[in-house]
Amino acid sequence: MTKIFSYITLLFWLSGVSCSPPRSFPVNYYKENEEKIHALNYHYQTLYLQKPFAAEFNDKRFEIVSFELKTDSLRYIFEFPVDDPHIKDTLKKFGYNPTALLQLVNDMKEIRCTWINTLDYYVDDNKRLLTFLSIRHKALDIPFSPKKYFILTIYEQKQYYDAQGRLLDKRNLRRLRKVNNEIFWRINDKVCYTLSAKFR
Amino acid sequence: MMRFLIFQGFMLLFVSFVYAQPSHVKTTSFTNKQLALNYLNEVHELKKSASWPHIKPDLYLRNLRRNIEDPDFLFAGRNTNFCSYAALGYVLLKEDPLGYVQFMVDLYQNGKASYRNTDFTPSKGIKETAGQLIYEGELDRNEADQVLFFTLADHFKGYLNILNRNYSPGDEQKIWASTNLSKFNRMLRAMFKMEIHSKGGDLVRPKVKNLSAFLNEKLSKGNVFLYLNNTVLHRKFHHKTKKRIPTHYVVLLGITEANNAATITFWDAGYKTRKTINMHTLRWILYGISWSENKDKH
Repeated sequence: MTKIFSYITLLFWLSGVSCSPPRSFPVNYYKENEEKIHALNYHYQTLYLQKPFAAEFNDKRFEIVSFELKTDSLRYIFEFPVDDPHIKDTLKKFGYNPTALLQLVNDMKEIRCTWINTLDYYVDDNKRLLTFLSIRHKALDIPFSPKKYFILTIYEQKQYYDAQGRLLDKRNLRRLRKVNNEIFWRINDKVCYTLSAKFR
Repeated sequence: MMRFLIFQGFMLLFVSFVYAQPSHVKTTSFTNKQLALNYLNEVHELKKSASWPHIKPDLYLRNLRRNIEDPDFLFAGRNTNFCSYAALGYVLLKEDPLGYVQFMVDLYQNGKASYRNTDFTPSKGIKETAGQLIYEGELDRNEADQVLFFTLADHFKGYLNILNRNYSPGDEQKIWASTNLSKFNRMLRAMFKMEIHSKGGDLVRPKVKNLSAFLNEKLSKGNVFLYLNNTVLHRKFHHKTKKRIPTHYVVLLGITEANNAATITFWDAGYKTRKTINMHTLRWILYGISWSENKDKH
């Protein structure tokens, strides 16, 4: 009886271990890729300010890219194989810099970033922007684990955190600030992370 | 797959050239829109309402004015189940801007109001919450939109809401706010002067032979709403397994078909969007079609 109980306990323990990503993954990943992440963010924000857009890799192999091109009247969604020569024509037609956007796509691929976008949030009725980056990493590709995406939010201003390192709302420092309905944890003053089942 | 993606790129480029004015939503006459703005000018300012303790009257009026001037920006929030109410609100703003502002001003001032033959008496719970939504993007400060969405969700109920009929904070993201197709059609019939027709259901896809021709025919007569499985149009994860249920309402603005691919233009809670998908996918994600026909034409 004791043996059976031990086996069951072991099984539960193993399933718990195999279904969770390593706890150190977010911070280690960030440290290893810090320069590339911030270069990507800077590059994206520079291009976004010229003309808003979001970019997504649609597949595991990072071979098909999708752009959401935001014009004044419409949001166009295009999907292309990364090496498709027609991407440039399309981006050019909508007034984007094709070379710069394709470089950004390469930078995304390098750090396995599957989605990059800008989100608005409000502090004292003032609109602020953050960069929302989703990373699809092999370390998170664990069977039965729903949280497949490592998400980083990058802010222009310093953020507030509680003693556990959870992101707080500036308006009410007792309240957790959620982004896309997720609680975020501190990496540094301006960067937080979460693990999520959704990439956006 | 590759061929299709290349083709869809071409299609989208082609369509955007030949299809500069996509909106089939009947545009409101200048006069009607102007009447709504004049009405807001006459109202000028609102006194703080005791019924809606967290709604700031200046933000409320600012939101109403912005909606009249540009209905495209009506936004349902990032995580709420308000898409059906936003789709309805978008067409309401286009069809009857004056009726909309009169209703909304009345609702704010008196805590209840009537629109056409329907009396809305919002519950205490939603009155306490409206104006306090956070982390929903622009909806955070669009206080009139919060009031509209909460009021509609509070008033109209379908079988999906049976287990959760009374609002508790956070229910805007849960089944309290969800909308099945027959409830959606009931809402349309209550809020619009037009005749409302529908095909499909919550679990059964509509049987239509030539889908794009059918939708174009309906667009030529009035407004068309689509009830969709949104895992393709607005993907949030890359799993291969996708739920086989509809989850989202959009307002169709245009559709063209070529080589078994459809380029659809639709209003989706805050944006007009254009995307090319193959016809098989469109049929797979489409569960319900509701459309309006102006009674005056018959």
